[in-house]
Amino acid sequence: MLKLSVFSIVFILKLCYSHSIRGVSPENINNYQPDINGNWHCLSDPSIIIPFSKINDNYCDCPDGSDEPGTSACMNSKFYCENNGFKPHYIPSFKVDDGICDYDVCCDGSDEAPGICENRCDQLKKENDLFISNHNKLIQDGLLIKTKMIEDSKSERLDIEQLIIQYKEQINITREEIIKLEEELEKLDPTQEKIVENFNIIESDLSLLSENLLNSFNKLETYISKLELLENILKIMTNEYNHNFNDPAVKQAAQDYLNFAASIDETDESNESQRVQISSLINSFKSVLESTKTDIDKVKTEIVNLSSIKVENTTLDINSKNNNENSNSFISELINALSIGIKQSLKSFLGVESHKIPLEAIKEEPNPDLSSYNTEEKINILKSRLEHYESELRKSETELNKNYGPDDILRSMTDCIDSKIGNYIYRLCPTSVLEQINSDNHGTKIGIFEELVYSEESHNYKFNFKRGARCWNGPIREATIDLVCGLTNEITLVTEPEKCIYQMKMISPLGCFQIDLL
Amino acid sequence: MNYLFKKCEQNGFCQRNRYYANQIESLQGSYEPRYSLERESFIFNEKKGIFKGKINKQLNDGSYKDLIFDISILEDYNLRFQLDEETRKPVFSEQVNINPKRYSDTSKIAFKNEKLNMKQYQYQILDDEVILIYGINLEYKAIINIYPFRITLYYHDIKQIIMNDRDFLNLEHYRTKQSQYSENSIDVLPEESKFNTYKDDFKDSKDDKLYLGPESVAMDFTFVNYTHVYGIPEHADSLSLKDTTGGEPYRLFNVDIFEYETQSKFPMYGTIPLMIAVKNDVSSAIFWVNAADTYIDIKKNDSGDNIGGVELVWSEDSMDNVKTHWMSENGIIDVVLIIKPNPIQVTKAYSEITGFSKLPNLFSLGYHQCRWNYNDETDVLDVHENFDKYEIPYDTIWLDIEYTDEKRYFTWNHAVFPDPDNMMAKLDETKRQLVVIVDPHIKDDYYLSEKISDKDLAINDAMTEAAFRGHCWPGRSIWIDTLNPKSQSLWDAQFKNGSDLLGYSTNGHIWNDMNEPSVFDGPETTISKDVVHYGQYEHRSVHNIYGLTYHEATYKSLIKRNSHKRPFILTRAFYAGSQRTAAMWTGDNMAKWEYLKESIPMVLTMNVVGFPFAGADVGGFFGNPSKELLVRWYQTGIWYPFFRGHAHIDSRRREPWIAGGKYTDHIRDAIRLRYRLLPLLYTEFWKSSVSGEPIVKPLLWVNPKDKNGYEIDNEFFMGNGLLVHPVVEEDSQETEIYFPCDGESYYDFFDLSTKFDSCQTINVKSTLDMIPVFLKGGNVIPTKDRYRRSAQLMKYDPYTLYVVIGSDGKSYGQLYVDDGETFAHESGDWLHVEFKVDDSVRSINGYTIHNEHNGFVKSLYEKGVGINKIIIIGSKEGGNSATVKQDGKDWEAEIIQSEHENSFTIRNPNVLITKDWEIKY
Repeated sequence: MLKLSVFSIVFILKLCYSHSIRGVSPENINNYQPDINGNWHCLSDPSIIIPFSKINDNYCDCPDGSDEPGTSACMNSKFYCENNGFKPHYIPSFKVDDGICDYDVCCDGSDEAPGICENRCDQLKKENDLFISNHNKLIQDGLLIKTKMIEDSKSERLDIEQLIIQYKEQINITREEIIKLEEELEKLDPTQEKIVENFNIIESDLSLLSENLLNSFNKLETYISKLELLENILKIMTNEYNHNFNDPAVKQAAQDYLNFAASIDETDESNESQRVQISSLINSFKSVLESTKTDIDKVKTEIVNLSSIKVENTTLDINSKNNNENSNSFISELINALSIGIKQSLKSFLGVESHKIPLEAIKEEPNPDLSSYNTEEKINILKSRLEHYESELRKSETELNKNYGPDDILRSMTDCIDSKIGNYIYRLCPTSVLEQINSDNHGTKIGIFEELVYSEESHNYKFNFKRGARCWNGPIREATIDLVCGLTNEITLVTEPEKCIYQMKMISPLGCFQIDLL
Repeated sequence: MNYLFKKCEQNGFCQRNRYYANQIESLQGSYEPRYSLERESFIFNEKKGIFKGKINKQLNDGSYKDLIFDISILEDYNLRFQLDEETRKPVFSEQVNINPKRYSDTSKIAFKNEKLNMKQYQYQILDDEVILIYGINLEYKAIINIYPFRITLYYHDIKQIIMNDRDFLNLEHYRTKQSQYSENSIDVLPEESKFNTYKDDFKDSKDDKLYLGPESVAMDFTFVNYTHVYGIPEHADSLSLKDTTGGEPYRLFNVDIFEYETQSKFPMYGTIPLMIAVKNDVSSAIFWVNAADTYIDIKKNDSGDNIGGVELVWSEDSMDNVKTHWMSENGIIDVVLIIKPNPIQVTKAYSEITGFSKLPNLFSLGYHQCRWNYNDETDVLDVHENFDKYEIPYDTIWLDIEYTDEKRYFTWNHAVFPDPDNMMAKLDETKRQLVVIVDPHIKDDYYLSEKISDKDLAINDAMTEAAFRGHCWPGRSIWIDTLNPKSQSLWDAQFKNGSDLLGYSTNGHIWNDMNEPSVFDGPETTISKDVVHYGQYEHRSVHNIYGLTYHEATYKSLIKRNSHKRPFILTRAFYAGSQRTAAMWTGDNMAKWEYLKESIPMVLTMNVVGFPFAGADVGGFFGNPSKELLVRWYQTGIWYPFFRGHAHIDSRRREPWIAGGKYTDHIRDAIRLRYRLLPLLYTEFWKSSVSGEPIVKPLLWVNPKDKNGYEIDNEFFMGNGLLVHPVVEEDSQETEIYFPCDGESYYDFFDLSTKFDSCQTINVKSTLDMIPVFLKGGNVIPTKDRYRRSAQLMKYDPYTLYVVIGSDGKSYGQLYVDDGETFAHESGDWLHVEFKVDDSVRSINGYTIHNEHNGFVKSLYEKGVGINKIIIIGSKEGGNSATVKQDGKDWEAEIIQSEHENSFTIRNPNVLITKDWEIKY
């Protein structure tokens, strides 16, 4: 009785003669049989019973969509494309009978009514076979390179580990020697010399301090004049920009500058007076340093005199509990501690410890001849050598523990990679920095290497570079680089989905994986 | 931001006319009006509907300045009044070539037809007045007072509009500069201000030359016994217009008002100078046909007239009046006064004059995905593919200015878009479209600017008579003068098939932005008023209509490119008449709740003034919306007739899948709902294209008798059958819904078991997954339930009907179908079905009112497109089966009961929509 569309008639005919049901796979066809009453049960809810004739009648009856495998009536059903000659495939029902031949998933064209889509399975299979063989060859070749890289990294790692062992040995040896020499030295008790020597250290530290302070002040002055220049630029922009320009960025910058200028004006009179203040500050520092030097000289003389008299006066004995310790050795220790303290605070103040020194193998002879030096000199030489070994050890250990990505693979990837895209060169230095270099050879830091990790989203490695240069009136730059398998290293695509947040694609042997073989 | 734009007191003509009005008001009854009709000049042509003559303006020495008036009765019984100076022979102090005439061509551009048909009238001349009577049943009467000049319009003998009620008519006739400044000038009346007549004090427009001196026009109109007025977009204000006494008047001046404020009377991107007054049994309107800078003062319910003061003549029969004062910088007075039984008919009457919104290409009713900017081809295709990956329908992806080669329109930045043809072909595989931006500022350094200059087609500097140069996105630019008819062929050449921009594609469309025009270094962000257009008219005369001429030129070019496809154009600037060829959006809003809220009255206002294809940027242009705000904006945006997500270049990405989790689910649900409702929406657009009817309607447009609805602008109807109240509050759990006093029942669209009675306010649940939408009794609503990737892919899917039984036991609905993309419907290839339901005899009928059996409609028949689900709501319980009749055959269809008593479903009745049918249930 139902009025049937031309469509449904075709299916009913097909159903009667071929015992196949549109959209149902051969494995699943057994689920589509009427019971003895000519009824049928929804697949995931058998309590719902419908006449078998309602299957593929273009009306959704089952909540799971199982009654309409061959139409688009149920939102959640899956349609089986046989794709004879190629791979069968399930497609979502919304792609069925919408007038579009979805060849990528349904090469036989069965997702549309007969006569709309041709069967392209043969052609697609050929294309696919060719694609697979090219793809697999690429991956295999890439994997060879990648394996080599991993091996190189491994051997570099071994070298470092070796180095660490050597340093550790040297450190132990040197320490023992120092202890030995110090024991010798204790017997000599040259208090006076020690005091003088310590004062000399303080003096030289002081002059270093004053020199560095001056340098810092000079730098400060340069910064101030740069700041003045910038402020001036902003001031001109704020006063002279056209208020009608529809550029929120400029307007915001002008507003921010005005706020900034307002807050500065409350505390300071002018840049000129700032300058005067700073140079007078520098001068006062200079004179303080000078007078300190003189003071220390005075104290030095006095202490030397004091110690040469070898006063045993108990009233001067500061530490009455330690009777066996005399005041001279106390003072000398005090001065010693003082000098080390100054040294350390100086170092941290000047930031000299942050300089990166390349790793190098141990140059000194294991047991150099120190016979020409006196004991104290020997100790000093050994101590400085110890310091050197220790710092080299730290460096090596840092290097060893540095993040070189999975399999330590980036350890052997030392060269920076330049890729030209549009008007820019993108320079990627794998474990340090990513830069965008314009045609004037001016580089902008997009980010500092953060990590190379496997991404579940792309099923491949990705680089994360963070904390780049801040965009004008925008966020701090950062980049994610998705890797794809390739034989060379090259960035092939740069996008900026949001201002200053870069998304890149890079071909690299790093991106080749066994599992991607088809 | 405010400092960029003139206030009334800073704008010469506005200051002068407000001053003029104040002077007259302060004199109260003792003022001696200046304007009178010259009886001897009358020419009546009652057959042709024309009455002409002179109006005398009395000057200080008792002499008269002659003005020419022209009253005509338009086809639809609207009264048109025009007033110009009889002679005008200016003396220029400088060597300058500008047209001395008052500009009178605004109507030629704004109106659908240059020539209007007229209706005859009957007339009587009495001692002090002329009476015109007209209308099918002579229901209209205009009493024209001779002195003081005044026109009072009656409808069914009830006073509706009084023109020049308060004697604010002011036409600043031409006078020499010398006379203007002389002590004993006969031209400058004592009630006039001399403020800024030959110069402009405003800081950004000091260079304005004002060669012609004061030339403003102004008139007052009183809506008698009305309380509420609507219209005059574009403003970010409430639907119901506010009293402006003591504050800024509403201003109409197309400007690039970026980061605009809400609840403001500042001008915006477009102008439709139509104000509509509504009361329960009649509705009146003023259509002020003037393209110059314009201000409108509104004064409501002036109790001062009745309390203690001297009562003016007109106030005797009016307690509730809305008094309006219209002021324009120059041009002629040209006004159409419309009176109809209800607001829908007023909208229609206005649309008959300026043209209906053309039936859009179906895709453009789908979802538009825009951003400033999708950076390159991969980016575009990536976004495109993600919609399918996340199973969210969409139709159109957009490219903002960055696709060009350094903002040179009609070029591509080939470094990032190496193969636009291929990209568009890829989009076309699933019938997706591309919209690219083309603005009127042309970078002053390439072939196009050279051609425009060479052919003298630019907007020119008045002194040099060479192209005016200003700054916009590309830097130094010139502006094409689309008022010049010769610009068209040059414009056509840029869009022709095979051109660089669109190649040979059939899925490319155009976005016309910045056409106010926006000029970054110009006064009030626009072009100087003294630059010169075609015909040597100063820009001040044509400012508000320039944007329309620009997008219309684009439309004509696209039609020439491909005369089969319906072009889609989005414009930012607009004027009365823009609805014929473009869609509009409300410009650069912000990602804040208050802007979401504001978007509804703005879109409703556009709908009531005959420009229904309107929307606001979903998500808000500037800034980053919270996930909740974004979801709510989609849930609101699906009801905008034009539905586009857009974002500023500095904002974070916010395509529907970015928010993720439940937020993406809610957005998907909302967009899919939009697509389900496309059959309804397309039918409404078709209705609008033949009647001007709004797509989304304020409550009072549906039911003007219900005064409770007069100020409601957060709730509206789509079509007649869906009552919608989008949630625009943060963290909403419940929303207060007003069910209008129309005697009909309402049902929750998503939960038919919930029924609401009319005429009440009720809180309903409105958590983030919910959109308050209600089906109104008496309607049949066609939908398509299946998700497809784009609108065109749904064309052969079956329909689901929602039948909501009305209080009288009947329901009615319509369905319009055509191919959705070509002009074949103009030669008859369309289907129009009417659904009529009579529950008392338990029958539903489908009647094919129009059915072309060739082309597309034939294919609907061949593919067996039918109705496969009918949900009947508000009837008694149905039986087990329904009887279906079509084409001489009959059969049974199963009836499925629901778990509640409000509805049941007729399962798969399988009737073809292309033939008549009947179902008995």
